[in-house]
Amino acid sequence: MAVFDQGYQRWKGEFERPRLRWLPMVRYQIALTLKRRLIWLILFLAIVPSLGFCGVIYFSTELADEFVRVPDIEAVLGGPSPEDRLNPLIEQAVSEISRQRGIDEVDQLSRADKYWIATCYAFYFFLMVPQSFVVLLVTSAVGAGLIAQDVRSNALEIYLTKPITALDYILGKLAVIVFFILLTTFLPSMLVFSTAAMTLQGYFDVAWPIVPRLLGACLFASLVNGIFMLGLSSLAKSSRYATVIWFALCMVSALASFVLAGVTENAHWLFLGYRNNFSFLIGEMFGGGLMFTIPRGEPVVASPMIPIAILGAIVLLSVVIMRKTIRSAENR
Amino acid sequence: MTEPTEKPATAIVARDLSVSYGNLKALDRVSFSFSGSSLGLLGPNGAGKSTLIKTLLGLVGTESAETRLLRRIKSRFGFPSAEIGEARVLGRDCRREAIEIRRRVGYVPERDCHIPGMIAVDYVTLGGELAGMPREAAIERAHEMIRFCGLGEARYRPVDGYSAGMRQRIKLAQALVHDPDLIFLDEPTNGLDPEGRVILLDVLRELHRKKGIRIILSSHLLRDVEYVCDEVVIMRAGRVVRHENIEELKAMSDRSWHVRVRGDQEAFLKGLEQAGCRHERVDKDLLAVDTAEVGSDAIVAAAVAAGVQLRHLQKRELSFEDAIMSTLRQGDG
Repeated sequence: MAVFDQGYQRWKGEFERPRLRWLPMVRYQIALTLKRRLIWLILFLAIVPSLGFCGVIYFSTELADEFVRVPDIEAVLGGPSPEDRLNPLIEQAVSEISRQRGIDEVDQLSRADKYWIATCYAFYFFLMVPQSFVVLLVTSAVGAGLIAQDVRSNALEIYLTKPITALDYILGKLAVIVFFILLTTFLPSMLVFSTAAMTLQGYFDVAWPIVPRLLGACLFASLVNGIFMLGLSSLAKSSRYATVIWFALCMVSALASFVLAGVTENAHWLFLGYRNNFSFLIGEMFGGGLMFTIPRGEPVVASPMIPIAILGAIVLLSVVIMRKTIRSAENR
Repeated sequence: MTEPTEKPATAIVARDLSVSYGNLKALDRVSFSFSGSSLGLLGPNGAGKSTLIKTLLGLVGTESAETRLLRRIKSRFGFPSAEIGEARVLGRDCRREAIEIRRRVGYVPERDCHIPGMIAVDYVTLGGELAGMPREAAIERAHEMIRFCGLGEARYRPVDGYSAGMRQRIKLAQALVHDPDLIFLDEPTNGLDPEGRVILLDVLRELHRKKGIRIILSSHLLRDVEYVCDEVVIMRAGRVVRHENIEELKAMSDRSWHVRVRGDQEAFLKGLEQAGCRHERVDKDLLAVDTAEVGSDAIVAAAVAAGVQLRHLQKRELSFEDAIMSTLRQGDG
């Protein structure tokens, strides 16, 4: 009877040559990240606002329908018919944004226009207020250790002696951050959109163009934040340093920008705030830049080239730092 | 790019390989070729062993874009440009085909390397997948390699919690998972207890003698190299001082002599050099002379020619370590 050799056996399979050589890195890194309780807490925090939004959309629509169904008083008094009625929250949102944009003839806007304006306004608010805070948390929780820990534990040496390039390594790490940011921004946004589409009559037909814009905005935010965080992560061997610098830069720059803009009454100082640049550019994507307002509610009018240049410089600097760190790990 | 169908006869060819870190020359015109089954890289700290391995893996010494541009400009205008040599591993160019080389070689780094929080089986599987193995095959092979390296019981434990010896073995498992044709091992017995060291060295011997996997072992432990390797490259200050078959190096004791003369020593040493003998001073009067192929008659002839009195001529008892140290001292000279 043949006895199986328990020693070393040569492998006779064929190697694959995938284009995305970094994909295995992403899979394992995501699995490792999901083992942390903090990440699950942040994921829970990320979904809460969207559940709130969904609840508000559903119940406000249901209540409005109940109101018009019982005594059709408004119809008697000559008000809009039930088919033309919009959710009262949407009416309120449309009034608010029309006031900001200086549109006087709100009543003359079509139902589709109102839906579209309200959708842009609602999703901009959703991304820039609750989800922006979540992005701040998830970027630091996921990204701060991605390179720092590899440098500390010399894992870079393992990765870079496999058939992947330094660029593959960076792309793999970036993909992990992008995955988690999309999970905490795009997915909740789609939950809200789906609820609205199922609840509000004719909503999907009017508002579907918001989906690619949402995806674009979320991807843009995740890529820039991800590269910036990887740059910070490659600065030190401890993820704590990257976390501290990240929060300090975001908070201090925001505070300084609002103070300077207020004191000098020059709105351009707002671009000193790291996150304000996203607010402006995503505002541009959603509604022509007028959604980004200074605290008193006045819209900021500026060239989008300013925030593009600022974020571009941050990305470039981060890439240079990453490259330097990886190069020094290769040479050690 | 086509995959070579047969195992190349020559595993490594390095020609005038130079690598600098700023003003420091880590490798200085290193040239050697290796076509055997196991090669030891020996030399003191800072000799350039690790740099040589990383250069052969295509990690260092590759020209930056600026250097390439500068070289192109220089050659266009007829200026001389620095030649940084070339190296081929398994028939592939280290600079242009580094990815393909890394697919076919394994590397056990000197330092402790792990991915924080990752369990051993995932750590080894990831190595296989990054090398291009299909996922299922990588998982199966990872289990096999972990068992082969004696860590079967600990394969679901995070590598962070491993002892130093276990970490050395898991590094070997990740280097073997994709079944390389050549393995680079940088000080693999560091941190191992005596028993673990013997087991690892036996594994390495088995790999190159029975399984046909070529080994390049960088170590400062001469006994490890002597036990595992057939050839040795001795390096010092970024240069290859000697490339020799280990058996031949050991045979140095047959041609190595202790000599004491009275008279004009300078003339005697000159005569030895002219006869092709290497020599080094052991103490004030005593000389160690390697007669190479010419035999001990050359010593007598040099003494006669220089007119010195030959007071002492005795065969040296040389261990492998003595032979290496002697070579390194000659390199100093």
